[in-house]
Amino acid sequence: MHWGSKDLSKLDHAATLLAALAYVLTRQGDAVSLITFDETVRDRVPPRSGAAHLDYLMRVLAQPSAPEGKTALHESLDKLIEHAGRMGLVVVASDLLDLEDSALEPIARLQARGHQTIVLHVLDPAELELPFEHPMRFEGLEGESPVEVDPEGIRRRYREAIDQFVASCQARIVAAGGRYMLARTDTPPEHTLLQLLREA
Amino acid sequence: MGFGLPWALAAMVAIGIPIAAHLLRRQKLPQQTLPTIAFLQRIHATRAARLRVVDWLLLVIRVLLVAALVLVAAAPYRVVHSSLLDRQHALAVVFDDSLSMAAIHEGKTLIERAAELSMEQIGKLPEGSEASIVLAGNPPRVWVRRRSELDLIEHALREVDARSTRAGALCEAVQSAVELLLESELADRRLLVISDFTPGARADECEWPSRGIRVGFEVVSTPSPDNRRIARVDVTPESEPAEGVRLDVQIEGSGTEVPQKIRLRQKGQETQRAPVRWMGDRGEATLVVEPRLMDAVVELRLDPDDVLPADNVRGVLLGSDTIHVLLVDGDPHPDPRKRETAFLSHALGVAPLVGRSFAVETLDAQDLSESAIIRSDVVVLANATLEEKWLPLIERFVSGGGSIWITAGDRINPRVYGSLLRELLPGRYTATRMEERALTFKSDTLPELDQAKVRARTPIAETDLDAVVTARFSDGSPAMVEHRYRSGRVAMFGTTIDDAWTDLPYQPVFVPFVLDTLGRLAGRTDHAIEPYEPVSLPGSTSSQRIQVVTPTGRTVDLPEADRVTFRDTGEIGAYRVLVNGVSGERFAFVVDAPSGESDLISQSPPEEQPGAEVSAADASQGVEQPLAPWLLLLALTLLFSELALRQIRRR
Repeated sequence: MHWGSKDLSKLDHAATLLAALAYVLTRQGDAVSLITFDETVRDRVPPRSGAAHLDYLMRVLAQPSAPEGKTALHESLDKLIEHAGRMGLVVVASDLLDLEDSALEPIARLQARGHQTIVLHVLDPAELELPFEHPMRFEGLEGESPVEVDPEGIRRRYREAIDQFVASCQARIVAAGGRYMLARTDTPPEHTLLQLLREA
Repeated sequence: MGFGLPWALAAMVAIGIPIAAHLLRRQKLPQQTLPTIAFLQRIHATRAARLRVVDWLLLVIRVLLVAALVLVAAAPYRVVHSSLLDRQHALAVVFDDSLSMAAIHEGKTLIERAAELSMEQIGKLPEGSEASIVLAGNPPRVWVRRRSELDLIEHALREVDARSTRAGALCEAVQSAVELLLESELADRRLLVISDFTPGARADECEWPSRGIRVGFEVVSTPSPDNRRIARVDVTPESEPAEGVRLDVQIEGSGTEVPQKIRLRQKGQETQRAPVRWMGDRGEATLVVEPRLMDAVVELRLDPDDVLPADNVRGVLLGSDTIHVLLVDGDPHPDPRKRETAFLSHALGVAPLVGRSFAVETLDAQDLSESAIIRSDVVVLANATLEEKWLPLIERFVSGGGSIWITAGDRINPRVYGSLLRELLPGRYTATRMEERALTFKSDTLPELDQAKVRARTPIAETDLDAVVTARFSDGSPAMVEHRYRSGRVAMFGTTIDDAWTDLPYQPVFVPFVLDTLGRLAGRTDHAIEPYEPVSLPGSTSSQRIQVVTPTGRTVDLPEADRVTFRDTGEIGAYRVLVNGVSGERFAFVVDAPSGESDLISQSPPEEQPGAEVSAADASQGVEQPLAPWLLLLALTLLFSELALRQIRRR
């Protein structure tokens, strides 16, 4: 999530979206909590309301703890369930790239407990379109083996694969009773937020 | 296999470019972080093996493409050594029939041997081939033009003169042969040059075809080029005119210990002989021709004991310094001392004392005939009343190179001269005037003319623009006017040539004046020509038969015409022109052996000389086949393969 093809990383974009949502919820008097995670939960802000809480929450979003290791969405959602109180709105912002078969199972449990779950699938346009022109040596962020390819030669197949991945994520989230929304980092946050609030 | 531009192969280093690009591309790939790399890995894993193969194929194709293009630039060809029986082709044989090829070896001339060789090569041609033959004696002649009928070609070869006397024109013949080959639709074109390649052939100066035509050479030569020729004849008058002229003959060539003689022939008969004295490679002989035996032209023959007899003959124009003058007396008198031409005859009589030679004939005007005119260099019409019947004679005479000198007098009718001879004359006579006070002459070339007094004259007016006034009267009017008319000259004198109107004949300057005038008017041209060079001669008329007697004694009648271009000059030696059976010196001429054709030592054909771009192989054995079209096709195929592989790589 710390990567971005332009100045803004996916994490920045997700933080912007969540901060804006928290602001809206706080203004209408709702209590808002925050959990950040990678392999495990990194920051946890208990549900509160009020301007001081909002200010604190935004500072956490602005300076999240440094990432360590891979993302473990399943475990992190399990932790969320443990701390989730009465019925509420759960918004998950992630690139879902570590999505295992069981990663989204907790969403169904959240739904069963009466929570409304929204997953913001944050992806960079470069991840979606592979716009690079010349042969390159591609490297991962989480210790994957590098690969040398000509993007032009595989672009079509890559896009098919990523579209399939996005569709799969959406299908599984919807199947678990949650709502899915693709949040491209090149889409202005207010557009995404407006769409989210309209459909809420 | 060979290359037309071998230096272009240096560009083969360019095949390093795709190899270097391939290696550099692998080493210097830009790095890019991508969180979704797992997707790339999954896709790449299925393509990696195929891509490796495609990459290597691309590298190989690009290297081959560069190599093919470099080879195309180097103009490669392969020599196809096919038998003549294999395929149709166009063969042009350049056949040297110059004088040197008339050398005799084992009873045959080299020309006959060359004809046999030509027939042998042409006989091997497969059906459908075409052959041309170009003869390389001067002027070059296309003897057979792109024919395939063997009988016809064989017949044509038999027609070639085996005893040619022609100069060499090998380079021009090669040019003609190449043009014939380029006209052919057959792709396999061959040029075969058969010659003795002596210095006279000048083969090293020829422009040989370097591409598309296979050139071959066949040297025919005599193994013992033992040849001599009459190189030079100096004609010197003996100190006493009565002793005639001396002929100093110089002979060049390989010396011989066999006693050799030089023979003098006059009118086809041997009249004298002299031994040849050899000093190394030069021989000398001396003959004296007595005045009573003097003829316009004689012929010298060296004993023909060498391989090339044709250049052992040489014609010599005798008395080429002798000017034949016909004096036409318009005012004859029984007393020779009172004739109009008496002073002229006296002046010409003393000419030998000052080293000049004139043959003088005097006629009364009424006896003037064409045969008398045509034997002369200069005709002097001295105070002659002009008759209309003379007009065509004078016209033909002057057009043919003769000269007329008209002198004034009381028998001259200016009006008749003006109307009949206007075109020929450099000016117009006007009415005769008697001068109250005697005039004198003025001349830049003969200042002493001012000693003479002139009491009467027929003034000359309206001189032509191209006329030259060589003397004037003291009042500035023209006294002597000349101009050129066609090949001859015409002069007009404004007073008498005797003492009737002037005392000029009594002046010492009279002799030089007469001699200079006649010498100038008789100005000769060189009468020695090369074999087959045309000569312009007067034609026959109804009253006058013109014949040419060739060195071998053949008599050729010239047709009726003003002028005839005589082309039958293939024999070397002296030609006599007969006017009604009498020989006239002015039209005698000699044909000399072409210079350079007497050296019979064969040189190397061009391909063996350094720097020559001619293939050495026999034209009958191989032909250069260009490979560039095939390589271009290969390059195009490689280019399309490369594009296709790039597309495959992108899938």
